[in-house]
Amino acid sequence: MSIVDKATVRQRIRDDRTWRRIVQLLVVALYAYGVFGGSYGFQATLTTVTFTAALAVAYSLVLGYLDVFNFAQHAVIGIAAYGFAITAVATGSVLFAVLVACVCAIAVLAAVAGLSARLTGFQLGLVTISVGTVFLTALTTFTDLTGGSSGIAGFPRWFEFSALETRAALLLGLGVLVGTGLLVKLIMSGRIGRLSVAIGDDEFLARVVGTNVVLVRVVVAVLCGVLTGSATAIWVQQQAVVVPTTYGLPMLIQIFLVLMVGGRRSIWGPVAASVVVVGVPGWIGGIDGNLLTILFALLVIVVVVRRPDGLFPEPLRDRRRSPLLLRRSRSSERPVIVGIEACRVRKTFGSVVALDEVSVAFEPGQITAIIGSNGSGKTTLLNCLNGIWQPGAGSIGLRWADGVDRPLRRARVHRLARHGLGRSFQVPRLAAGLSVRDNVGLAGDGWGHGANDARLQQTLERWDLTGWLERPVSVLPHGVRRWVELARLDLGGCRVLLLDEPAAGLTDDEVELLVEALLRWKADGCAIVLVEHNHDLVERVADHTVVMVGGRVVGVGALAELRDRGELGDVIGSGSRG
Amino acid sequence: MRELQSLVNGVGLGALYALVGLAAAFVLRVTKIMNFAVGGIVVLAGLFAASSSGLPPALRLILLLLVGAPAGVLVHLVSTRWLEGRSQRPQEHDLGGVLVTVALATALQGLGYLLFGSDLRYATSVVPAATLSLGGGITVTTGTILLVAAVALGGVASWFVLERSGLGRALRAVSDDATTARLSGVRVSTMAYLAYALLGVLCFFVGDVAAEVVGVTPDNVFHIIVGALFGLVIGGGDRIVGPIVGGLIVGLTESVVNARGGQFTATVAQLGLVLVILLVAPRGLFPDRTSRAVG
Repeated sequence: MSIVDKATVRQRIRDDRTWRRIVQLLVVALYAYGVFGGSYGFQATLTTVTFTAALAVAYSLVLGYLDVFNFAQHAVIGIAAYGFAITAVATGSVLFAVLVACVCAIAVLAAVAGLSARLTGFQLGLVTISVGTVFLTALTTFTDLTGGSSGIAGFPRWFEFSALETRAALLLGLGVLVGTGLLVKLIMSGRIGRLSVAIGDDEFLARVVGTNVVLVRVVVAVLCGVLTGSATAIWVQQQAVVVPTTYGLPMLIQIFLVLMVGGRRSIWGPVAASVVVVGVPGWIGGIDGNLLTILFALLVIVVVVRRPDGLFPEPLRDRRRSPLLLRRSRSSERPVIVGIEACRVRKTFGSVVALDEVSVAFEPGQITAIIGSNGSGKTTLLNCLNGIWQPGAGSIGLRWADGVDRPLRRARVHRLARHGLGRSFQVPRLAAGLSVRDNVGLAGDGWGHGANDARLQQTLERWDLTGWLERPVSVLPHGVRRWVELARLDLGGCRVLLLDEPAAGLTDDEVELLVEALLRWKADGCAIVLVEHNHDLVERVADHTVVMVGGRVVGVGALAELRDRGELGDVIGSGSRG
Repeated sequence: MRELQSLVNGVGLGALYALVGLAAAFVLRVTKIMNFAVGGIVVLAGLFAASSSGLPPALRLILLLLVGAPAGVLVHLVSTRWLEGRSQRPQEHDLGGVLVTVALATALQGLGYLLFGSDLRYATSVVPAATLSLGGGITVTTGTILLVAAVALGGVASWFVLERSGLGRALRAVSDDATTARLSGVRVSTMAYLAYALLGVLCFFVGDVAAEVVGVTPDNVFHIIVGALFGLVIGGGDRIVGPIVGGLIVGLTESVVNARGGQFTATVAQLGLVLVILLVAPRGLFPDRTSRAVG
């Protein structure tokens, strides 16, 4: 990663803003011309641009925020369109048909979102491509229902525009686009926005801070389905006919292109991109459809490779306003884990025994250091305690604040986190698409014991992060990234902390800050598990030290005592100093 | 009787999927990318074969194999090499990489439509075309036999290259751990080029055979690659036998279900089968016997 100084970053942010203003002005001017002065043809094309942009913005919820590539989005839109037309013809009720369109879109999107938890990116891509094929095959198979290649027309409509009422159609599209854009902005500017970005950028991080990833994905997919279904149902009424050729692969590529060029988490971007991708060829006219598809597909590749954030990305901003859904975390009502222990835990990977009958207890108000050479099983033990891996044999015991014995049968990562299990990583994990403030604030979404805005501000000041709030996290130096991670842990108010080499890569001054925090957490009664190679640090803060060799615990005690015992001295070595 | 005939036809279709699946598995082992563009290359190669009616079939096949290598390298440059090092995530989880290969497949499909239209086209066969009777009214074409023979040949060749040659060792080292392989003196980028060149040759061969036996149209780009990748998912990409058996299962399912319940039911059946495999045995029916450490 290149090192970028503050001035460059500021300049870049400013440039982006100027660029955005210009784009916004051009789009507004275009629409003003379209509404007040454009020809019939111009207005008709601009209407298509507008509806495409609305569908792309709706799809950005899933593709942009959650990073779920649904290659069946053309089928989602198609199913909604056919669902609307068939229901409208059968029942005569437009309102009911709109509802059916929404339900159709929701069903497919929610299924894809649910599957995305179990499948890798490629597998999901393959399955969704196949879903698209199933849809297109269904259109040509059940011709009684779908009308085959001539499609369905003559359904009842709310909006019966004649061919010359292109201005009314354009205004209708504009209404849909503005509505979709505002709703997406509203949904994504609060808690659900922070969680979605965290999931999209680093799903594992989201789990560790206590996010129910599947739930958030499904909720966002349902919202996307509502927006996609209703926008489609309105567009179909404007078009007055549903034909299968509209909903093929070219539509998918077009929507991908609009989103990738415009910026996957942007609203103005896709509108501008839709003008270029849909509008310009329409106004020029007479371009071969296959040639366009080839150009568009190649353009998708260029954009993915060269500008993965798109040409008009939204500037980084805090997502702290008007949380529409999942307003607050109910974590303060949950029972809290205050201690954790491993009982005869065994973990193997193939023929490699990573942990062999490991038994250690971590008590409240104590710092327990785990030392050992690389590959001795330290991180594996942390991962088992954290619920990332289930032990092959043995068990993880939890101690609760109220003394009640409450065995968690399936100790999933996010559930443990919600009961106060905190974790930091060897390499700090931050969500690249969130601001520094939101990265710290993530703690309030999952862990969150009474994390409010005042405490967030306090925490940012305590960790000396207030000077970094304007910077994208991708350009932060290592020490600051570490502070962001530890500040998040601090704000989360976790009572059990699993810290994986927190001192790695820190300067001496920074280590002092870390020691201060460790002692403060200890005084607050936290049970701290400290995996560390820095033996000076261990000697200063640890109450006990656990020595691991080859997946087994070979010694427990104070580090100095352990070092004095001859047979352990070689194993421990002197570790790294500072 | 109709069932038996559809079984025989299914073997031919399955052999086609198996061949494309072998090619995709080959690239997967080296670059960890499932490349949807493979379908596009096969179909375009087939279309070129079908349109070169003036050439003697054997000469045409040789020419295609010669063009295959640079074509494969070109696909590598556009679909994977360009993206390398730009993505922050492991390639197998990076959806941007998948999107690039899907987009390339779409572009190749568009090129097919642009140059050749959407008609089903056939190439003259290298071996004389004939229909053999297996008794009881069941027939098999020489084309189907040719396809099955090609699978056997492709399987043995892949097995030899990957498991028995020094080249295969280097390719596998790259697949398992590119950094370590690089440090051990293997030229990782060269290996990827080589893998794609071999892929190109294999794809052009498959395209030619497909054009001879079942005919090709740009409509089939995604049909072919999805069927082949379904086979790869069902059989698993760890061993040579995976895509072959998986491809045959997909082909047989498609042919038999299609004969009884139509194309729609067949497509749904394939998707259902794959979903079950993905959820129950995500590494496929033939996972690598030496399980790998995680993390």
